[in-house]
Amino acid sequence: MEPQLSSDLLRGHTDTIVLGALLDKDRYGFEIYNRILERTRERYELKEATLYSAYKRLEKDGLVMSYWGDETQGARRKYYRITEKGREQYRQNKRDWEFTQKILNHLLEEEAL
Amino acid sequence: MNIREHVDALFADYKDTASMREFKEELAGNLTDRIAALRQKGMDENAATGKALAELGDVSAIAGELGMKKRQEVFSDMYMGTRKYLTPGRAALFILGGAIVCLGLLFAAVTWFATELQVAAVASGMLFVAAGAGFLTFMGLTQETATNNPMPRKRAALYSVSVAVFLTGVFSAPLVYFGTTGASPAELASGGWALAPENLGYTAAVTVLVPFVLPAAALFIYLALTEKDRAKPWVAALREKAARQEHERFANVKEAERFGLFSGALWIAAISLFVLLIITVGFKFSWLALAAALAGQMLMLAAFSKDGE
Repeated sequence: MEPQLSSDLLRGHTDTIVLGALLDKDRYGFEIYNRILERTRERYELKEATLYSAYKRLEKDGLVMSYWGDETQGARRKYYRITEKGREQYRQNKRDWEFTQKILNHLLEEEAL
Repeated sequence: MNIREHVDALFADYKDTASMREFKEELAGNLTDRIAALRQKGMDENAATGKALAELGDVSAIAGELGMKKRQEVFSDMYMGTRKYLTPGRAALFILGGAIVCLGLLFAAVTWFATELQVAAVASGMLFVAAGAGFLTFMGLTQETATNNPMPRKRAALYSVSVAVFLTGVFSAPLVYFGTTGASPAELASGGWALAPENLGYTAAVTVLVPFVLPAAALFIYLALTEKDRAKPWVAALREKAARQEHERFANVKEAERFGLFSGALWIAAISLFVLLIITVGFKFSWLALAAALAGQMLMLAAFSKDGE
């Protein structure tokens, strides 16, 4: 059987994924959503509501800030920008994940034996 | 339906707050772009809109967060506002009730100025005032407010009847009083009155109170005693919190008990003194006993309250 993507596992890292999407430039909701779809080749059935919750949380914790774009036509876009605190949090989360991954791999290898 | 309408429909049940509006705008912007992207892949408009909305998932959680946050900020506006509950139809009925009462007062005034007869003035106004007051009672009790759920109509109707009958009795008393005091001794004798004429007015007035006021008061008391709490959940929660704070005011149960005993003793003494002062020096100074007791009560509360940590 084809390997399946564990959506639950990914959902646990929504905040880090969003922070990661903002590292190189400010993005708005659709861009972030689209970026995740592309990078997962649409295998991850991400609900947008999950992302909105993440934005609210991150903004409240001061990890991102938001501002309205100056589109002259069409719908307005709300952009998110990562803060210094957010970058620090991203690095920390990434280190945590790499560490966890190593341990998980180790655990699973043992199971296989 | 355009995107904006879809988004409004999604949040139709939520209070429209500033943060909610902002969120809806953000959502509409993102959905528009998502639909455009899907259409570029060859989807028709309906399918694209359906897919984009399905991808949203459960937005009610965020809506709750936004709503809750706002609800605390605009507490008074949210909870104390009546606009939300008073429909135009009901508002009109309230005004009608008020108008009926005013009409009664107006009739009474006109009759008074025209005839200078108290009896005629009271008689012409009383039914309108009683009916209007009963109707307003019904409207008030069946009105849902920010703090209370409405009372069932049947029960409210009983309250309104008791109020109307009570008022009718109360108005009938002066009617009978003025009616009988104006009567000549001959008329009184023909009516079979065997009482001293100077007391007749009062006696008749009090007698006429009985068939109206007693049943009405009994019904009212019965209803009041069997009343249930119609406060909304948030009011109940607030009340519970207040009770808890009251409870935590004292360091322990023993202290609270002592406070209660001291308070009781203080008020028994104050009321005894009050009565004594009425008899000895009259009303002019007797109230001082109660004022002193109130001050004593406050001092006692201050002394007994738990030291702030």
